[in-house]
Amino acid sequence: MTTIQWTDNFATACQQAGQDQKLVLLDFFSPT
Amino acid sequence: MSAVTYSDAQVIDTITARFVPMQINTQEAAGLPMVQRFAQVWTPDLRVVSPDGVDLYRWNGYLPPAEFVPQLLVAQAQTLLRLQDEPGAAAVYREVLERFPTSAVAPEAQYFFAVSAYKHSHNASDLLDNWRRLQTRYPDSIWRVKQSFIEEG
Repeated sequence: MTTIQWTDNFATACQQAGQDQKLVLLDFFSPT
Repeated sequence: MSAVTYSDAQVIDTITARFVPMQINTQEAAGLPMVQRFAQVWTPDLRVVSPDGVDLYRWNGYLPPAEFVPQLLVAQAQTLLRLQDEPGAAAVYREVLERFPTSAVAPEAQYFFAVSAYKHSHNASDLLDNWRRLQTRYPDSIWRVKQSFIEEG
């Protein structure tokens, strides 16, 4: 089963989204 | 979120196909610049951001997969609408109404499907006919209230 491939750099995420005609999804989380 | 929602195949497929995803741990120093940049205060906090770095849709709180997927689609659609891609927004809102007609965000999708269709066609019936569907499909929704001025008179 595949998993979500999270990006760890915001600038890279925006650049990738522009290239792929996608949007950036940010998930702010707190591990508990 | 990770244990249930992000392990769901439909959630994974939806995120992978439509978004470049990034997680920010708000408890780590490395996450602080993003917390400050996006005025983040409570988790879970989801943002949909345009490629130029502007967040155009947001929501807080845990959602199970059955509600998370339609919420993702509504977030995508609203972002496309704000980026002036009205046909693209209308297509995604229509997808929500067809695939998830009983989801919590379906009334919002009905409201903005009408807006997207109207802003593309400039035909008043695209707005009013689709808003009227809120009266029959989602009569108890706040989105029905938001168009209720057309019910008067």
